[in-house]
Amino acid sequence: MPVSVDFLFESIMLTLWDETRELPLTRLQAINKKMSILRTQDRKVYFDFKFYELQAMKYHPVSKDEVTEASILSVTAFSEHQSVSMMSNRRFLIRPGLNLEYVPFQDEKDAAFGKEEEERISGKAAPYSENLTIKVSVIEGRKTVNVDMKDLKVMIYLEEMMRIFDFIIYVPEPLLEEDREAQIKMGEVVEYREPTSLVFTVMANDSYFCIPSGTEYAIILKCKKRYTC
Amino acid sequence: MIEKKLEELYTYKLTMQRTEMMVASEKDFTSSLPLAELTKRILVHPFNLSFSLKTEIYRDQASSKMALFRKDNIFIDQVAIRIASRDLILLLESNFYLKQNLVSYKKLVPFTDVESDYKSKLNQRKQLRDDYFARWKIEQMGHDVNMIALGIQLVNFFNL
Repeated sequence: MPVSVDFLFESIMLTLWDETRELPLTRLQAINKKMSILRTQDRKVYFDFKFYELQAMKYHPVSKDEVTEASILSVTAFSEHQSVSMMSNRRFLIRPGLNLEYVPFQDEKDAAFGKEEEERISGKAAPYSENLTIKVSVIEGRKTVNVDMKDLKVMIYLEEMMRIFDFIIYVPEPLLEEDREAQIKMGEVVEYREPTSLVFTVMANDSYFCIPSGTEYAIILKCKKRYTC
Repeated sequence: MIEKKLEELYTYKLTMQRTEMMVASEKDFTSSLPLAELTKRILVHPFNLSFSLKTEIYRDQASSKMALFRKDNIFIDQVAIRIASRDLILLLESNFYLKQNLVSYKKLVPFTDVESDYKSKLNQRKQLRDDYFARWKIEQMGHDVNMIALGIQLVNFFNL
């Protein structure tokens, strides 16, 4: 039976926790998100995600239960003539139950910056546009992922990215078993560990990738039109 | 007899159009300063690069033969590199900084160590994966590399 579902969200925040260090690993924040899922009668599955803005943050401990935040990835509506600051410096207290509690700025200048940040995050600062679209299709085990981004600013903290990747590929075995059982129930049994095809394409328009050097200056790669992998 | 059907195992593609490498202040980059107004030194002038790595397989269930074919295509446009001695130092410093960070990353506790039960199950899964590939006689039958480079210009500046 074909299934089609559409969702519309104002803002979504996803925090990944590094339980080995009792710290937030990263926080992904998507604004004005549209999500569509379509499953056809012949079991072709399509996912379509559209965002107005996407931010990824990293965290540094400043005390036992307090962290500061810094942006590592930013996809926004702003062009290279209207850039967005990646210096957040917002502080959070780590509360029981792995909750982050925002600590308001004390300084007036920081408070003004914080207000500007909140307005931007709430999506009030600019009209809606689709700055990030992700299309995923699964057809007979063949997966195709297309990511299209506009005005991307990235700080390449390699160690942070590798840790996030470790987090993503680490799936507890019980979840894998549950997924396999669900597949069997749906009659989609495939040979165990059968190699499948994956085509992953990223297109980033007017994008800047900064490689930190630990000094005042950094190496920056600028791609004007298209970046695919 | 190997099956006639050719299956695409995986493909990696990298296309970078009008890419340039520059040096600029990290603080300016992370601030709200418009990126078009960055004070910068261009190291590599805009160039185009495309790279694709495609691996295809033939599988014969009867004889458990898996034949791998690889096709690599590389295209590099004309590249003009202008590099000063201080940029060379910056490149070395970036490299050193990355290595330092990778050392600290490798010291982190792996996620798989959090729950010992999961760790043992993941090892079992790895064994199953190895068993799957062990029953195939994998043989690489071809590797084509096509590379087109349209020229390179290197200019080095020394501060005297």
